[in-house]
Amino acid sequence: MVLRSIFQQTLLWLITIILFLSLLLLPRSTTYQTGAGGMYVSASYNYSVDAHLKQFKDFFQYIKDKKGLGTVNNGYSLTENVWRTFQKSMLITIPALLLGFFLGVAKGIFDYRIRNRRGRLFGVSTTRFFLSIPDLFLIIALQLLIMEGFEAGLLPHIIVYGSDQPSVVLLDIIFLSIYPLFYIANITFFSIRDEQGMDYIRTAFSKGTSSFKVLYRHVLKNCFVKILSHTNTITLYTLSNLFIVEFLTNYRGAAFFFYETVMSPKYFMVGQDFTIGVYPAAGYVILFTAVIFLAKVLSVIGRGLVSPLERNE
Amino acid sequence: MKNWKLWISSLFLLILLFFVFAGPSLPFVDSDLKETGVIKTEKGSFLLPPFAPREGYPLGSNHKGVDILSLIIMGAKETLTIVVLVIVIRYVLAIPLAIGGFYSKLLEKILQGWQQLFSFMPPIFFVTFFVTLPLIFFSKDRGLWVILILAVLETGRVAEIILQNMKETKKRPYIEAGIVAGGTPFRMFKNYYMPVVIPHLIILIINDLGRVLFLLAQLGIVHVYVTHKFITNEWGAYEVVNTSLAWPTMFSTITADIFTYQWIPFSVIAAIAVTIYSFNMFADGLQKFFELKYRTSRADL
Repeated sequence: MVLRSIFQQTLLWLITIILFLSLLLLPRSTTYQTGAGGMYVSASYNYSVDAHLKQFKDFFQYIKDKKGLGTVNNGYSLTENVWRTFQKSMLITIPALLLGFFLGVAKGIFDYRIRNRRGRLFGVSTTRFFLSIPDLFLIIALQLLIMEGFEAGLLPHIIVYGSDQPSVVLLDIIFLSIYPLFYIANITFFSIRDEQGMDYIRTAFSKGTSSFKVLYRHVLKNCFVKILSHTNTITLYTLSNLFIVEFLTNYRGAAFFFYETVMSPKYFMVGQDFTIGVYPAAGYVILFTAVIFLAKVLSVIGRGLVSPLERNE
Repeated sequence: MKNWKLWISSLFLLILLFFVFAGPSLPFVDSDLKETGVIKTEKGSFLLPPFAPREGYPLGSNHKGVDILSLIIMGAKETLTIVVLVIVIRYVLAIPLAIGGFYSKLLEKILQGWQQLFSFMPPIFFVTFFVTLPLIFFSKDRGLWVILILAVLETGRVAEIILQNMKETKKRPYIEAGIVAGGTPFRMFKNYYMPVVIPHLIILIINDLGRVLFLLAQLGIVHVYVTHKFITNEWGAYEVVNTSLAWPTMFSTITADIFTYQWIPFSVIAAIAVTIYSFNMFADGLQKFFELKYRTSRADL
């Protein structure tokens, strides 16, 4: 079962890469229609299968010749460059995902335990609140607060923009983990609530197991199946958000450079061809989809470990 | 006030709708979006735009001296039109797909393939990449293309959710009772499935409104807008500019503004946040409303 779904995901991953590559290698030659004095009137675009196939052939020929993705100016090979920036991005993404996941589960349990006690306002209502406001707002507000706080003399000087400062790395991890944390907390809360009143819980209680043990040993184990099925959503969201966070904090990671390579031009001249950096983009596409693939595989394995037989409803 | 979330969010949304339709004729809204080059203060000094929040500019002004409050109110209509269009296209595709998937194995496979395929693509990553294709970049209907992409991006996801909801409904005992009572497939669909699926669908749609607006805001930060125009500049090149009033376009200079002219990005993101929050709160409130109405809420043990 586990092996079969891993095989399926691998197949899907390959299909995605092929689809992305064929989009990347779409011939980009444009014909411009000009008016009086070479003025831009419109541009048309003709697609031909032959040109597209030729792009594919050139692409693989290039990779074969250069034994990689080629070189860039700063002395690194392009493959190394893509890999280096990717590692930089992963330096913030992976901790953010882990932090979001584990703190999220913890927050969900907290929400559940506090739901009928004093202080329940800090429970599920805060989770719903943070899920409902866009984290973009929180990110910008936090950045402004840190800067204002320094100006008012309340905070030490914290660097919020930059690429190599540890404070920026830390802030980025926090920014990226906001949404996964509350998303997972919400899922955890509702899956614990769904387990309420199940027979096995009554049995465990009747044997004199403490409520703490029942929750952690029995209930949570069943909840993890549900929680783990959401890892794809949070990985996808975090990778998407990586663009925003890297852009807003000027962090030079993979998302930033991927954006630079495929960005639409701010200016163009009549007759100009719209080329993009196909080779770095291809590298980034493979790496980014690999992260999603790994997240999916981990979630499948995790689910297999927690409950070898998925409960039939 | 048992369901305060529903009431407060409805109020918010009514205010929003009021601004969309009556906004341009309100006294404090400058519907021409007049640009002001310079302001002379009472002390005799001169102020250059962007102006910080002051008299006449409750939220400050942008780089051209246009009042931001007016910009936000005037831009609301366009922003919400885009969001609604995306949602309409998305659900026009997703609802038949989900219902079809419920009855036909083939459509279910198509739906799952769609959902799985897009689950490998971070949305911003995909959209940024897609809009630069010359086919779309130069298209006269670029706006429509972008809206279509945004819609298709999550069609699989919502169709899957609707399908799951129908499958869960199928397991409930009353469905069996309906079959025993001799319900035809059509009657089963109309009288047994629809009443459960429709409230669920309404909540899903409203939540999705917030999601789309959020995605648009994120795309605005990385300079991907729904519409653009070409204007010649002094060197004979063509500059790609933004003439739309939609809220996300005001993020175009965010990385520079956040240091000195904080009110520009902050007012916009606050407007977006309040709108998204009202949508989400409205969905929560509606859910509670339906739970109370159909008594489907679970008792907390």
